[in-house]
Amino acid sequence: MWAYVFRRLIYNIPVYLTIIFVVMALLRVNDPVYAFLGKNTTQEDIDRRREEFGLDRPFLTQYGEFLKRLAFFDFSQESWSRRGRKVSDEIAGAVIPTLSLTIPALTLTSLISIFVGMISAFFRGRNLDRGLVFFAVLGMSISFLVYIILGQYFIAYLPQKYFESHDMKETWGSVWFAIQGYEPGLQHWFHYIMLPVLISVIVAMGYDTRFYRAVMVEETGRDYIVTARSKGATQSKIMFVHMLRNALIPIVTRIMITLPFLITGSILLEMYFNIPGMGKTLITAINEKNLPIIETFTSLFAGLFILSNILTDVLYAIVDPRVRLT
Amino acid sequence: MLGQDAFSRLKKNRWAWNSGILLLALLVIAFMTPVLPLQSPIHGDLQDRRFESPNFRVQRLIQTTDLGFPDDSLRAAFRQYQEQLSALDERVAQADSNTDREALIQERRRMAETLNPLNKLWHHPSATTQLLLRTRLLLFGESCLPSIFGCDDQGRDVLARVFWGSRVSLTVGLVAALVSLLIGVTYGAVAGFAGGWVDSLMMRLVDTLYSIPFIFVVIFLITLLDAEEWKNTLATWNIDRTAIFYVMIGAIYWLTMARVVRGQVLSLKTESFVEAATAIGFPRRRILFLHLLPNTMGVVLVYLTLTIPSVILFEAFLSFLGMGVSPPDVSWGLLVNEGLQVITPIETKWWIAAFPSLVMSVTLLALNFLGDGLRDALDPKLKGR
Repeated sequence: MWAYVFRRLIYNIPVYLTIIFVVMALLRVNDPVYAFLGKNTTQEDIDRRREEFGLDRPFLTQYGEFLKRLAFFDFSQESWSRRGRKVSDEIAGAVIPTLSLTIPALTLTSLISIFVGMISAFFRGRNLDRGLVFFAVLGMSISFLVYIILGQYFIAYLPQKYFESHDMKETWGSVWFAIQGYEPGLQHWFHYIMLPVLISVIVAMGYDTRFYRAVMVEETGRDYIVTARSKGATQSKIMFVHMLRNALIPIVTRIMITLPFLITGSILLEMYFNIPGMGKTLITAINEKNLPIIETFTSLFAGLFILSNILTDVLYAIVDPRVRLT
Repeated sequence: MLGQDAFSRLKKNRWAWNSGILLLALLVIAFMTPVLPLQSPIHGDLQDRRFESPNFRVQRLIQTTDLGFPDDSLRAAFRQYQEQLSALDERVAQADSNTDREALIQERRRMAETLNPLNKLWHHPSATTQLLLRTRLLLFGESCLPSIFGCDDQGRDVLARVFWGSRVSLTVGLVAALVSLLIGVTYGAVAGFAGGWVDSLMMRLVDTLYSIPFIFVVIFLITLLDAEEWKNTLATWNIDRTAIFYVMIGAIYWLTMARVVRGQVLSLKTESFVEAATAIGFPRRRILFLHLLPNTMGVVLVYLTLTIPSVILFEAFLSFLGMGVSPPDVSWGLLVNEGLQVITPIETKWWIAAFPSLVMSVTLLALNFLGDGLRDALDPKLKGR
């Protein structure tokens, strides 16, 4: 297995280098220094900044240096828009808010939708199943923006207003869901992050439930279910032990596919709830034309995607001994 | 594409069939929007009608006096404009030298751009749209439907904006899906049919592209193409942001399509009809495009109906980031966003967000139902799965 992982890593190195090359080249099509400084600057100013940022050197030199930094995880470049702040500071500051949002969201979504998918598959064709499928499709068809606004208004804003008018702002208001914002620390987690987590669960549920239901339905037709039933296994044992175990491959794949998003974060939720995570940091950097941050973040994300692809294949082999890694 | 038996199975599926009819009706309505007696989607009454709640008062097309139309009437303005144009045409016909004529033709073009009264009420209507708008003026004159969906923060009628937005949103969905179809089907079919190292090379490329976080690439490309120089270059080729948008989204969604088609072609390749065609001596290209591809179309169709909703949602997402369709163009995503921006403060102007999101959700729901129904119809074994 380790030989396999090693080989896959080697294969993916040229791919990764190409991705970085393309990203860096694209970022330099329009003069980034000019874009950063805006229209009202003199040529000398632009030249001076270009030299300071090291963009006056040939492209390949810049590419080589960037790769060297990446190889040693040296993210000490200075952010363009906030002087004195390094790229590594930006990363360090953004990782925790993102993870505190995405890890609970992914866990909850997976658990709930696997369960609902299983129930739905179990009652296949009956009214309960039809209702669940209908709601899943309905959930898929509503824009996440609608969920955000409904959540913010009904779950956060109205209760907060109520607390304020009933003199409970200090007690309840600081615990219950905030409309938006972020403060570090575990004690503030429920206040700021729980609502985005809930919304993200609801948004993802529609698709995931349908997916897991299809997986489970696939399994119900298999021979081993008949065998288990004929030897007298209880229904719940068939569902939770036999079926779930055999359905692990698609489940693992589905979860692994979403794994890189743990880091990239839910851009939309971070933007809307004003959480200073990875997604928001990157979008801000793109708007500010903050080149070092854009470059570093994109390269890191691409690397994560590649790694998670490899990890998926390895996990295949672990959950299903029939799969050989060659 | 859809065999007769599949078609009758689809017809029996009430939800899917009705969704299909609804979508067809929606397409027709979207196309005919300029003919309908709607208010202007970009010109509103900033003084008196800001945040007007839904009501049933009949409106006139022109609501304020600041447009400078004679008698505040679009008809009179249009007549005046046509007189000016024909006067200029006469001067063109009588022009002595070629240089004079050139100059006059230039001026005529400029005039058509700036003076056309239609341009003040609708954002750069194309030739077809202008024709439809003039039909509307003939049919309904200047009376408009009441603002049953209310008005937005600039006193513009939400109903009209939803209708005009449907044109953009549906076009984005359809064009992007078709672009992805074109690239994905060709790519996947060639890879699957060629097999061997060509196949593995082509599929490795797809894997690679999968590993790029596309959302950032899109955001990034859009900001890149927004730069002045690029805008001007593209404008000379008559390409605007919306057009780029279509192509770019299509260019992302082709990956899955390519995989799906390749899988289909791989399994169909061994069927006996391919063997028969080979035995007859048909060239490989003909076998691929005339024999194999038509057989994959069912799956492709299903995937297509499921791509359109995600494209429309993606457009809404980009609109939220301010990178989607640029105002004064409207799309559903943009409308929902505008509504949400207004709703966050203390007062709730619910209608601005509610109606666009309702229409959008119903459309997406219909698309999803149709996609599911098509899948069941094409493969009855899957029924109920």
